[in-house]
Amino acid sequence: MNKRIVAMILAGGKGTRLEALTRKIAKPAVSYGGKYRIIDFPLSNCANSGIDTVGVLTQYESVALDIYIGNGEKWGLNGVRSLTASLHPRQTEEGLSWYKGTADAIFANIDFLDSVNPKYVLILSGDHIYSTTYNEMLKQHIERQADCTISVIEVDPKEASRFGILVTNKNDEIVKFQEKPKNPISNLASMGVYIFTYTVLRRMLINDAKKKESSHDFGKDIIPTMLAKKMKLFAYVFKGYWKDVGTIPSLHEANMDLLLSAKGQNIYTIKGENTIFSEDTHSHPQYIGRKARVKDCLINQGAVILGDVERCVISNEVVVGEGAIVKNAVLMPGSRIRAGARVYSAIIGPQAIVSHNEIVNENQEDIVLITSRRKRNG
Amino acid sequence: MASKVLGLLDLHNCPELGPLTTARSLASTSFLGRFAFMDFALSNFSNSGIDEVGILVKAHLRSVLKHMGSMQSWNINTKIGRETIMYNERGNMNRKKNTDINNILVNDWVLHESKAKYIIIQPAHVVCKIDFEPILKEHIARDEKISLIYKHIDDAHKAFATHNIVNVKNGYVRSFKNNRQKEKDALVSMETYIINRDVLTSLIEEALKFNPTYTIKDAIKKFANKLFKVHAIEHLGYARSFDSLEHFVDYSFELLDYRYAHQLFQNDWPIYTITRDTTPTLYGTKTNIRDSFIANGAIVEGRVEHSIISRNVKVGRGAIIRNSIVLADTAIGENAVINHAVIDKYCRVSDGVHIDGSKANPKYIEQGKKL
Repeated sequence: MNKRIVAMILAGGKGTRLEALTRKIAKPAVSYGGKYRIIDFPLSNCANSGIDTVGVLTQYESVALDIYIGNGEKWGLNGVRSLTASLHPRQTEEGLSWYKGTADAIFANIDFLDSVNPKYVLILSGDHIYSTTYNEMLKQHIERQADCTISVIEVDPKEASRFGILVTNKNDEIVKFQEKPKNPISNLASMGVYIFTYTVLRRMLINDAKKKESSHDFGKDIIPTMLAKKMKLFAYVFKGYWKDVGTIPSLHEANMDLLLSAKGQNIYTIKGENTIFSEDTHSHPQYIGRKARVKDCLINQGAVILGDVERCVISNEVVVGEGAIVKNAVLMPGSRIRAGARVYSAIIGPQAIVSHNEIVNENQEDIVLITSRRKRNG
Repeated sequence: MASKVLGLLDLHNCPELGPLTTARSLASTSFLGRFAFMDFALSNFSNSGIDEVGILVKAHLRSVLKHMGSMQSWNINTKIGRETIMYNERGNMNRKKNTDINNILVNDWVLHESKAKYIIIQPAHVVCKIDFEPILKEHIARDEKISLIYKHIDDAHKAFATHNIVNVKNGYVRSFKNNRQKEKDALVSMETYIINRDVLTSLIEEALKFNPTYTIKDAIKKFANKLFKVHAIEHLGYARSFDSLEHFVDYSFELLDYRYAHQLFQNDWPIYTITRDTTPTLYGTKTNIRDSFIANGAIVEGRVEHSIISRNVKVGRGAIIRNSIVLADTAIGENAVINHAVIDKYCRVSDGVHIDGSKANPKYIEQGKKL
């Protein structure tokens, strides 16, 4: 096929720290922003970058995610010359092998990459929230004749030990890389977004696969090896909103970042010129009732608000009953807050129910997650 | 049901909604901030398992095509299913002959290519939820030739003015008459029919022999009980005929009431429409929203009461909107006050501007106006 660039989205992670939210669904498929799933962001970024070939690498609880990705239609990635493929661990003559690490996941799909034969491969995480196009980054990669370009963002030095940290010289060339260091030597964090020249990537993956001691991970193995070999690695500095939501409080915070009252940004500044494409839910119109109060909220179509909601992100098919009070909360699709209930500082999971007059988290010391679902009839 | 039925969405009988429909078809006119009128009839087809649909367009082809997009938003199977635009180009030269019958003849290949044994015809201006599956079953079991759906209403002096009143006895229509709006209690035709394919063919033949400007509605009225009997099936749920600007406003607001809305919007009956990937509605910190439908893409920082706010509308701080319908992509400036108005698409209402209509006579602001 001879593609210029192909995107490979790593979407196999479990997201353990999101607790019950990811018990039956992979983290990239977690609901966000009233309407989206997290993976809508990298997929929309690809679409908005004019990238037409995307492989999505799924593993953990992949059924719902695969159904969601489908043929890429939701992001327009099903047009002529376009291709969207869900790529799972597969059974081969050697047996069944799970993806052992991020690099192994790409290595296992070298045949897919060979079949589309790209000049460059863009590697993305399926669970990051940010809106951009990758065109400037690719341009820089080509201009610098890089082997690999890593997208980086400046982080709070106190947080730096959570990330892969790198040091650059004044030409943006990467001279040092530390994966989740105890004592970070810089505040430039890797976003887990890489552009590789495919011939280089292919060679590196094949060599890495042979190493028994390797964990087959980009951050831990591939990048350090390339640095040791003095290959050309450049940093591309990303400016803008970027969130890797790992925990319930950070998922809550990322939702609140979308509101008009949020400091520094809101949904419109975050999405910028891009459209974030997503599923069409065929919902009924959003209705705000006669006795409702709505302040500082982001509310999707299909929601019915009869109570008092403030500082909330509310998804499709949510019903907030009369007299209910919901503050500082994320209500995921189909959740119900029954009449008279009070909910504070919470994430209410998909289809979850808060009963009549029930009180959730009045102390508000932390963000709580409620996932109790209604019982099925029969 | 896929292959047995061809659905026809007949836009030839669409009434005008006053100035709202000067440049667009009623079928593609915005409804409840999120839909176009034709979505309801098309969703009736889809939800009843009817995947082969012809859309008989009388005029304003542009606005219909714009709403249809890639035409796949209503399909069950995107290869087997199809929405075919049927348009009579010659009809535009001779307005009297721009009828649904002539449209079907000009586009006779649609029927020719279809294997359907039954044709179901619906208008776009009657908003309702009809499951055609049981109705068709009844039609087939009784071996009927034409079945007509009617509704019992108690406001015929105001409503369904462009429709026929039917006299029904023993399950058949005995006679038709125009609704002269003299009686309140009446059975009105919903202009929705199930017709056997061969019966439609002979109905069209007979109609053209008699009068080349006849419509299907005229022909059924004329030839009922002469060529065939018309089986009558009562529709019990919500149905409103949108036939004027006043009714557009009144009936839209009526649906703010759950007692009406729940008859139309049911979980097992999605209303399909074209997706535009707009962001959810964003509300500011000093808003006051009551009894309203608000569409995605809207940014509301003012006060909205008993109103319908469509896609991508901006309501500035301190603005007050009451009893009004604001169509897509319009911006209402800060401290503007709007009462009893219909504001069309792409308008710019400046800060502090007052727009006042009355309940009986809502103020209409035309598309793209800057005030």
